[in-house]
Amino acid sequence: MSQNLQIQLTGSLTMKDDFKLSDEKLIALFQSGDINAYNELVERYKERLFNFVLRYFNNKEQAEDVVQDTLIKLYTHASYYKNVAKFSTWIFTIAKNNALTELRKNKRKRTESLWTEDGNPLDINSKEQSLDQKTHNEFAINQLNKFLDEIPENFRMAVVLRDFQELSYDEISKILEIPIGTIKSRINRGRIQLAEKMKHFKEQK
Amino acid sequence: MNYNKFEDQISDWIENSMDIKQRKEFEKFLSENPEYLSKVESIKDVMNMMKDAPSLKTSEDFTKRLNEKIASLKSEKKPMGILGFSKRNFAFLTLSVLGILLLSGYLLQPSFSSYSIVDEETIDNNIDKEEIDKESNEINDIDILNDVNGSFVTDKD
Repeated sequence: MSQNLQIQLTGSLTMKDDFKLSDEKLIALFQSGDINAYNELVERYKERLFNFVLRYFNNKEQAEDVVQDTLIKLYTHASYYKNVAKFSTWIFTIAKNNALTELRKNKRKRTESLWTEDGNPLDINSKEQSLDQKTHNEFAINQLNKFLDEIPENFRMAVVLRDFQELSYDEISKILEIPIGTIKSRINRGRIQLAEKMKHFKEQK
Repeated sequence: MNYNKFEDQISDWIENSMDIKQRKEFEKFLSENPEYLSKVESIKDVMNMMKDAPSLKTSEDFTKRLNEKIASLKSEKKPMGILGFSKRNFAFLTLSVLGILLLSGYLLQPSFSSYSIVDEETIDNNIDKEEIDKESNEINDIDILNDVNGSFVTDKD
């Protein structure tokens, strides 16, 4: 595929999955000045990063700010990316570092929760919904999110990257800068703790 | 296999990342201790729930705010002053060049290396002195030749 054709393709965000350019191709295009490639990367990653960063803060506005800073760094420091690592590893690492810097700066670590005592998401729409309107599955997922906040942070971040973001152990190891064996162990421990909490919750109900 | 080892390997077994020997050992332990099967199942459920969980959305104006921040970053960039240099750097560079030019002009002028500023009388005296020195040197040369050859040498020779 010629360079010109690739640039044309990135201009269209409605292309089929089969023809989707890889993240690494997009960052290369952006490095050579294609702003459409940057916009596509933003669309692909804004929510993934948001859902990841949210686990550090549990505060939507703060998490959005950190994601915006991350995406601005992508804009201003794109030339720093070298095609030796996966783009996702690079961008998640920036997001993690930004989140940790913000946490140190504000010292407002996990002061609010996105989940109510019942495990429902703390937003207007969900407050207006009654339990009857929710499916059992939705309720269980909300409860799981609440339990996720309760397990140790080093377990939580590893589990989030593996089970929500579906990254490989190798990528998680690079992002969190921890040996792969430790990552595997933390993910396993985190899952066990979550499963125990869920089991206990179901038994109470 | 003991319980701790079993627990350590649950994720590996679910994710099918064990070698055959480990897998057989794990499954043997499970068949001998069926009470632990529910633990494996509950972890599987949790994993599936997380995989299928809908992701939380960013605000509707997220991208708009991001673009505004980028635009303001661009406008914050100070325009480069003169010939691609900032005003401060350009002034420093200009002063440096002028300084070098003045210094080199001063060093290269002919009067600097040979003479200082002197009056004409001093110059005349210097010329006379040089002539006297020259004559005395010539006389010395003749004396030396006399010593070497053992004969008298005149100016005519």
